[in-house]
Amino acid sequence: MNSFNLEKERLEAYAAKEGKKLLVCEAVHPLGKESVWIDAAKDLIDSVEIVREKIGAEKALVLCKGDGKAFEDAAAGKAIEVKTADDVEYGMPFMAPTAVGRYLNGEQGYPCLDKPICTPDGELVCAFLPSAIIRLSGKLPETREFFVNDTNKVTVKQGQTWAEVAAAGGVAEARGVIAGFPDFDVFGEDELAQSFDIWSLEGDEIEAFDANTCITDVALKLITQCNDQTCGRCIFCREGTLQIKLTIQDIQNGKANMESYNLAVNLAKQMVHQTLCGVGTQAGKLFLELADKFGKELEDHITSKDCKALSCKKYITYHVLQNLCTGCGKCVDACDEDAIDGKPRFIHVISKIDCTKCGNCVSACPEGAIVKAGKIKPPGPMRPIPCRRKD
Amino acid sequence: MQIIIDNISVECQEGESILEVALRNNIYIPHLCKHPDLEASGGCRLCSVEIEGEEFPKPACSTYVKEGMKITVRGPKADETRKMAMELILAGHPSECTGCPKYGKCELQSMYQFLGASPEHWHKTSKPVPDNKDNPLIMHLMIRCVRCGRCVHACRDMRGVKVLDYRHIKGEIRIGTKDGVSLADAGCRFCGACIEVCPTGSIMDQVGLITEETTYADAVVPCRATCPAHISIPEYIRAVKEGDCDTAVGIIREKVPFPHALGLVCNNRCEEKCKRGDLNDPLSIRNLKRFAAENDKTQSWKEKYTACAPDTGKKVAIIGGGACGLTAGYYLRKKGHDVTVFEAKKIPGGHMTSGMPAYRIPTEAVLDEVKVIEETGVKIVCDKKIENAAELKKDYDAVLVAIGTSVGKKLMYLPGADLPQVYTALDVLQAQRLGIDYDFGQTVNIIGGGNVAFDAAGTLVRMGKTVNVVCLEKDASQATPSERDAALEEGANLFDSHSNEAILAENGRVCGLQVHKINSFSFDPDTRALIEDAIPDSTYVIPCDSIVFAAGQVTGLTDAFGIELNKFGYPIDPATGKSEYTTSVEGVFAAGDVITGTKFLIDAIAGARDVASLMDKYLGGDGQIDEQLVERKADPHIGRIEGFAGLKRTELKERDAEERKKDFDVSSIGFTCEEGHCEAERCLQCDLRLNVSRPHFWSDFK
Ligand code: SF4
Ligand code: SF4
Ligand code: SF4
Ligand code: SF4
Ligand code: SF4
Repeated sequence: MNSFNLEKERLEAYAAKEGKKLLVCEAVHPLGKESVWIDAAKDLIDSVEIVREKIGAEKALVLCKGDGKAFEDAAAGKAIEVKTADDVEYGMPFMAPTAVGRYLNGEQGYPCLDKPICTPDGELVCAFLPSAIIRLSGKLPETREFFVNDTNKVTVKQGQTWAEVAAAGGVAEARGVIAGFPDFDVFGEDELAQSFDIWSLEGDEIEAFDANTCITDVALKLITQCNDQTCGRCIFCREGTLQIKLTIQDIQNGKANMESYNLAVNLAKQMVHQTLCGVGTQAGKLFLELADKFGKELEDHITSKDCKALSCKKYITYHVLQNLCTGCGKCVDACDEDAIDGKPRFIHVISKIDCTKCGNCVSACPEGAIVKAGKIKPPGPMRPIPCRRKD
Repeated sequence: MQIIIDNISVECQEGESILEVALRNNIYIPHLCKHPDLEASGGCRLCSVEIEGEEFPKPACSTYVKEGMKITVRGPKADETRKMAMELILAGHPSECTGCPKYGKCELQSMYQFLGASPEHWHKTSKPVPDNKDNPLIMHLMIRCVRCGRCVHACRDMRGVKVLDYRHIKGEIRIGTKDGVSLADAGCRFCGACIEVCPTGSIMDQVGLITEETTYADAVVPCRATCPAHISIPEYIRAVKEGDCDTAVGIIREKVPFPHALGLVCNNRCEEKCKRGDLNDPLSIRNLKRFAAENDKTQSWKEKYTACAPDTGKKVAIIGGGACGLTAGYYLRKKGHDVTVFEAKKIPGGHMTSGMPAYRIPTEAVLDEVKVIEETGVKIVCDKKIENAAELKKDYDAVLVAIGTSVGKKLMYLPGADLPQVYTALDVLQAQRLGIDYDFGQTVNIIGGGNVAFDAAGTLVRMGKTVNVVCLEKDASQATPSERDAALEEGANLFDSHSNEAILAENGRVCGLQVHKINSFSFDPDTRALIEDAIPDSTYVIPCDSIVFAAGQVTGLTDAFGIELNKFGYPIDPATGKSEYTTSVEGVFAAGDVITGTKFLIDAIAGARDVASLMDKYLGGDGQIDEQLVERKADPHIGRIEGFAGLKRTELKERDAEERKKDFDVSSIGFTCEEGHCEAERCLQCDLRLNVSRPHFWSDFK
């Protein structure tokens, strides 16, 4: 989903306004990273110039974090100023030009309901995210940079599929993709063969995951991002993201029931409509889409204590495979909890009670004899017995 | 235009929010983040309402009316949103109200009770936040903060100070100063707007500032409450700051007719309670009054001030033309009565013109203020001593006894106290101010160590005398240090920790004071007799030509005055046996020092106001003597002032001792324009927060 129509309306409204105007491009990466737009600085600046003229703004301002040199170079000779906004405590709450306006007035950048805001010099603040600027300029480059799973920078061509992008980002067998912060769109396994319009995404983040990643971990990570970004003014955003975050943790820890899960879903429905900016709205939408497309997986955690990805510690156990164990005892040394019982050439046994599921033993075992298990446990002795392996 | 709220058609205008319109029409919609004086922040969603044609509930605070809108306040969808919002707020709030300083006055408490909401389904997200009681005047008890943002808006939009804001603090969103610095360092102006708008017990006045003993307004503006005449101090200081001294004087004159005199000699008890004292030093309230009076160019208050009610035909006589008598006379004349003031001395003004040193309060300054009173039609008859108040009453409808305590006391038990060259401090002051010739000789020993002793000392020094002040107290600790030191700088000698034995004479004239030294002294609690720890064999004589007692004053009244007196010569009302505004003779009233004993100028004026009101009622009036003389501005947008909390108090400068002892001109130098402005700027404007609207409680609606 993008807010293409909304942003067009805003553009027209700005253009119709009399008086001094300032076009602001929010190239501050919302999660505090270096902007991906550094690599596409020239394209972005060109589009800023076009949109500036469309609006009839005398000047444009590009806000970024860290080194703004790439933008400065591209903007040389144009009526575009580049400002590093390192003092922004958290990413600008999005789709809220008033937040940018407040920031430019030396205040905390949070949105408000009041009239459009002017800079101290009396210029009307017209703010857009970079992707919106590109769309509004009508000059859409053929490729766009994204971060896949936070750190893998990937150049995506128009017309590529979600699966291809996930693979380029290091997730070869993706089972889900989420177009990430600040505008969340969730795609399930059956949608990954679709190609997508790179310019329909608001943000620069893509989250991809395969069968080894539990949906609760993905959900927790993204909701936590929202909770970290909340400016605090909306009850449904500030408390809502926190409550959902705690519910996801409960799901992981076996403390949730269907009642609390449904309560969180109802909360998410309210969040979509009862917050002032995209942070709260999108957090609600994210959780609703996850419940829609990965609801079964979430419910399995709650009702059958089952984490298919074998990731939620609460629902897994560690086991020594009796046919592989040589009784070398390396696992005993690796376990800080003294949870492994055994002696030389005896099959070692992990205590269900003492094991904290840290997983240290798995990598310590030279035979690969230690495994995680979910509902179905591998067979094995209750206490150490002599090894069967003779070699 | 018309809209329909809960099936009631109501009138409204373009640009109004649904919430405004509903509240005005007595329809309650719960709301928290919206305060009547502040922009809605729109985040709490307690004001959610259903609008016909809209799928989802909308916040009433920030949804604006459209012709024909149909609104349901408590529809099921709106109720669900509202209830969930309140539950979420409570989930992040401590669960117990008991022990909260806001208990019973809390908007949040009132509202969750109204909504019947409780957070039990949700995760408890309230985390401990340490109380911050380190700031002067203001406590932050942020564990209870629901982050409604009202304080932020009040500080930023209403006041323009921008101290408080939403902050990321330890992984949470909290309200605070940038980087958590103290309020003072953040530029806070301690205006209290944030306290006023906070719907919870999160931002509060420091413990002890608001008490049950006084009204809220008095607690919030302690300077005005402490002033016996309740001069509107913050308002006149604000006018001074704006450079509008005329308005300032008008505001002062709404309560007292002697702004200049008070600005020179008031004992400024208001300053002891000034809240700015909790930051660094109190405002120099008295000196600002003087500054205003001395820079009052156009006297814009005057026309209203001297206009009187139509004549009532009632005649009032006032005995005593001091501050009390003149003040009462002024107000009674304003109420339309025919007022004559009888003054025994040759000029009016009482202590102001004959009981205080000229170098503190010049005669012309007082007479200028008396002249304004005369302009109302008050008749002042000088050189006329009234011997009997009851007799006088026969010719008047009412009589006020306001003769003060104008007779100095001599300690007659001291051997030699009846010698001819033994005087009182009042004699000294009158000698100088009224030109009476007394035989002081060259060296004068003053007995007593209070302020009056040093007034007499300063006056005698200026008359060219050698002055010794002899007193029991070590360092003359009874006197105000600055007044003591001023006289000593001018050359008076202090003999402290000295006890008197006798006044010695030679050939029938005073020649010395026999004294001894003491270590310490006290008074017997039962007999009030002096108990001293004398230093053995320390008796000696301080030679002098005359003695001046500074041992207090009395009324000098006797039964011949025609009204009942107590054994000390103070009039009493036989009904209570105490000194009151009423006396033993109907229609004869008393006020000022003559019933209170020697007090301060402002007490005499405050008493005069009370008695004037009482007498007006006695004469058939309504007793209403308050009047607004001037328009005033109270801009709530006070803005930032760099280093506000640290702004230093401006002290009055004294002329150099060697120079000032040569004449009787005022010894201190009034503020320059710059000093006056700087000092006025230090005021916290404590009254401003009283103008903040009271939020709506559901119990106010039917
Ligand atoms: S939705 Fe969240 S981030 Fe946006 S204004 Fe509301 S509280 Fe702030
Ligand atoms: S702030 Fe109000 S609701 Fe909260 S504890 Fe105090 S009284 Fe109760
Ligand atoms: S301190 Fe009070 S006014 Fe400020 S946000 Fe918290 S509850 Fe609201
Ligand atoms: S300036 Fe006023 S509103 Fe702002 S923090 Fe200080 S006292 Fe509160
Ligand atoms: S700061 Fe100003 S208003 Fe407040 S007590 Fe002092 S003089 Fe009065």
